[in-house]
Amino acid sequence: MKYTDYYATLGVARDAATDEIKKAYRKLARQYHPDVSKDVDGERKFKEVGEAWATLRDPEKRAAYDQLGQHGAGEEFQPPPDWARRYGAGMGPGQGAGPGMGDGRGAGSEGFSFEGLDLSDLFAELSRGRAGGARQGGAGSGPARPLRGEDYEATAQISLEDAFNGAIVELNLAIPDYDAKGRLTRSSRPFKARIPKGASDGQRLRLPGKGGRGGNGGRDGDLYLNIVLKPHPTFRADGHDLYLDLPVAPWEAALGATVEVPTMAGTVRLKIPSGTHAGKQLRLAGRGLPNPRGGAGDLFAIVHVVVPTVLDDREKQLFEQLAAASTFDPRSHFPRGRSES
Amino acid sequence: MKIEVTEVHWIEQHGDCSLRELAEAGRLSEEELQQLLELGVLHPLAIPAGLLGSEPRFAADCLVTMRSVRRLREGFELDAHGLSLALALLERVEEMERQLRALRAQMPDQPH
Repeated sequence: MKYTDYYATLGVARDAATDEIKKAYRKLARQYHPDVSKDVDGERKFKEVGEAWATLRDPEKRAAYDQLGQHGAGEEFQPPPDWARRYGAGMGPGQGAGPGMGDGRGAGSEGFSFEGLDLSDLFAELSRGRAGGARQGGAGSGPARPLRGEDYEATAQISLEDAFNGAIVELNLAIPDYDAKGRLTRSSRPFKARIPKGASDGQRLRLPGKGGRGGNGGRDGDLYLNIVLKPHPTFRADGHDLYLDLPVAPWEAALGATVEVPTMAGTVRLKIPSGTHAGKQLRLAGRGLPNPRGGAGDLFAIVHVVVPTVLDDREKQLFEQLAAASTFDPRSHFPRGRSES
Repeated sequence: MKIEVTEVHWIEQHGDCSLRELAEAGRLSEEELQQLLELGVLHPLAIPAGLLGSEPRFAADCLVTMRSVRRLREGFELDAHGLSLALALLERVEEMERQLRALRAQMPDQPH
């Protein structure tokens, strides 16, 4: 099992008082809270400080953690021989808590194995063991209460093409689970999820029953998938609407033209009306992303009047003729005033 | 190893959910959830005329709100009043971010 230094995670000394640990935790939790933080790694860091706090806030868990000794972060270690028995960790659902459960002999023993576990699973198990003992182990206690599995969140980055056509994404999640002998293990669970067409940026999808396993007949948790659209070289998405920059020549804007425009489903011809100004949005109805509620978003072509940077003699002559003949004043709305001397 | 393809659900189209399901998602007691209801954090769906008096139901996207509730409560030990304030502010931030995304999508040559 790899060691995690919970004190270092929270930036406190090993003999810090609970109040001091709480203060450090609150500060970091506010910094990395997924609803607030813009840190791309915020969710993971929030989870790490949460795990550290969940263990160090509880005197019994903190004592159990301290008994594991001090090791380097990420260093492989084995808990002391009687650790699992003393602290009641390591039962799967239905195995009960208290004397006689996991013997702590380490990997491969008849009892509890630490193999493949991480420290947070172990301390989560310690809580389950304590609660489980009250619920299911003791004489005179009632029947085991169903425990709902944990919900998990994952992010799926998909391309705009995947959002338009639908896609199957492959995910690999490390979710704690119980093996056939009821022992807690953490293993990679690969699976594929079919993203229906019409997913939009920031949308959350739910995969019922794909989270952590429930205990005592409780239902499995859910997996929530946060959709993130990868940037596209041509289109920008806003919900199900798409935006595209459409460069046009000055004469196309002034006289009108029919031009070819790319869409997600192929090229279409778009009529630019005469007298089109820069910044005008030309709407191509239903050419955006499909909407799962029905229909589709729109595609908006944003007009950019582009002027040639180099003019040949003939072009220069024609522009000069136009300048001389035109009465058009693009700044006619400016206030007229006295010139600065 | 053959990996089966899992079908996903649009949260907003996944029907509705009960008070108990929301309480489970937020790891709250039904009493605590009732407080959030009274503070207007969650709104039950309108009950059809023929089913008056039946249990309140909620849009399934309330489950997402409840995940935020759980994180805020476990992270900061907020009470119902603190939760309702934090959620209202988060909602405002989300709406402003949505507007910012929309404006950026309409602006040329902006990093996204």
